[in-house]
Amino acid sequence: MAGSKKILFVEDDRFISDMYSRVLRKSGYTVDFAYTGTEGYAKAQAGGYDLILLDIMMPEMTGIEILHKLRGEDGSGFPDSRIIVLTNLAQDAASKDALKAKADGYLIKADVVPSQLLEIIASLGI
Amino acid sequence: MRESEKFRRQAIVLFFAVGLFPALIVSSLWYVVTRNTPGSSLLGLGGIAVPIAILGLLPAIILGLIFAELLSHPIKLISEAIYQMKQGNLSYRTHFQHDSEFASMAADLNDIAAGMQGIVSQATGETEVISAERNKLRAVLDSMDDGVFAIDKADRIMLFNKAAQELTGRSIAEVAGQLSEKVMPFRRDGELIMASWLADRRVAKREQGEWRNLQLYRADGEVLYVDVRAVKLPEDPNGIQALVTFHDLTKSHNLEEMKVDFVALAAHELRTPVTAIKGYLDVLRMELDGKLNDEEIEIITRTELSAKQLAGVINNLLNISHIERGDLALNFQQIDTSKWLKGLQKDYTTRAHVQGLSFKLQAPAKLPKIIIDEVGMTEVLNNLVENAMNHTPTGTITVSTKAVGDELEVLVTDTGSGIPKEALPKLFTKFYRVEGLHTTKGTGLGLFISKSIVEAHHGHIWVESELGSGSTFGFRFPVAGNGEVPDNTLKGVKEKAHGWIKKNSVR
Repeated sequence: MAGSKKILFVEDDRFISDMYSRVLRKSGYTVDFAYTGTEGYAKAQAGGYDLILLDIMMPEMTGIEILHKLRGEDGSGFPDSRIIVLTNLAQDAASKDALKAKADGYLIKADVVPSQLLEIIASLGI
Repeated sequence: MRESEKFRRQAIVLFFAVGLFPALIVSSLWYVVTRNTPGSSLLGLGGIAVPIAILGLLPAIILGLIFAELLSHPIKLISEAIYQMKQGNLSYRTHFQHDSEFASMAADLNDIAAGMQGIVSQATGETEVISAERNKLRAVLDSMDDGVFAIDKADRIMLFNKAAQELTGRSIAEVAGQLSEKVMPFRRDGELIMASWLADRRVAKREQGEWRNLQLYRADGEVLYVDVRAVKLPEDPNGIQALVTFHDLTKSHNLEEMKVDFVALAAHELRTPVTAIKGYLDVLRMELDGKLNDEEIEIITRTELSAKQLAGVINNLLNISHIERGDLALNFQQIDTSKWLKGLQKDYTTRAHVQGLSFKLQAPAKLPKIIIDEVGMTEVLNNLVENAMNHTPTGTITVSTKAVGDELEVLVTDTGSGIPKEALPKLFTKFYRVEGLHTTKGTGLGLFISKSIVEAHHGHIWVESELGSGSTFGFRFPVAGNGEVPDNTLKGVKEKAHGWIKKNSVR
């Protein structure tokens, strides 16, 4: 049972984060929210999350910046947290930036419906 | 002194001399006769002899004058005519009243003068025409909005019209004789493009000779965006090797950029609500799982399909802005062809079913693996299948595929209305929509985008259609990719059309 798994959802659009988290909660995950980049970074730094879902385009700090800060230069930071970028930026460049910043995944919101996200998370063993 | 005058004088002297002898003889005889006559004194009779001798001279002088005039006149006339010709008066004509050798000589002279006059007037006319043409050419060049310049063999600038001066902010004095690569350096993405190279290439490759959207730096450092045409003139007598015309597109280039940026921004903004629509429909389906009847499920399915179509339109808009910026970034990966097609089959079948059509996938059991940008090629197939469905009221949409040599061929065949013959050549151009078809669906972008994506894979796309009996759209591309080394940055990453997840993500 995934009851004990904690997910941090960093997304400035509440409509979108509500949509995904509704399904995640129903599946037994504990979901925390952050609505700005700085808030997201602060919460993530506090630690304890099995998965962090990160938007890129956010006020104050972008998702890529948060990734860099969390993972650090050598990419070894927060080894217990999986970090997946969940964005609508479909550009190749953004995807590669995320890879370089040691993201564990890169998903396009417009192409991933909540049930698919659930499947993906489950496939990661979370 | 002119010859005719000299001749006249000589003639007079001659006749005078000739007249002198009879006069001397007459006066001497008279002297001898009168000396022996009695009663006459020497002085008396001899005194008369001198005036008589002088009287004898008179006719000689008169005759001399008349003969001299008769002889020298034609020579004088001819000499005058030659003198006039020498002075450039070619309209001068000489006249003789009587037939003589002189008259025919004069007539010949007149003919020569007339002939020369003709040649000279023709030459003068031509010179006038040439200088008029030159002025006209200069006026035309200077009245053009496009910049024009010419280069010689050594790539030095020979001609520089007014527009070129205004557009570049350089004067003729600054550029004349300078190397064109120094003062008129066209660039594409920073790389220098020589005007002479453009002209040579046009000849060698038989290209249209137009290079679009090159950059040209003004004297003040501002960048211009220009379309350039270069024509070779190797036979030019003035030594012009090539003529280069450039059309300033900076304004429309900037506008175009704004438009592309706007479209990209608008499309991006549209993505968020579409994400929500698709997402909430999915939530609805999950939460009401088992509680919905068939009709309700059908309603959700149709709404989902519409949302997907909308997402497709948005993707096309985003693709267009990438194509126009020239940064259609493709991510080549090796994929399993059968799996790829089967994944799409599900969606196409549902879609066909909703529209009362049937969908068939015809593929051999074994297909070669292909190196493609999966997102892009899926977009191509989506566009073709969508078009087929939009133009097929009843019947079947078939996607068939097979390996042909080193290439994979994909055909999308419908049993629809077909496309008028005259529309076929324009189908793949941007914003083109076939007029008079029953459907008003489509933005006119899908086929243009598909062509761009297929060509980026070094493939080609085509259509065959007959009005009333359906159409077949096909595309073919090398299975080994476009020759570029597949991007390995995402190696070890499971990539799908919707993104990627690291395979060994367990930390």
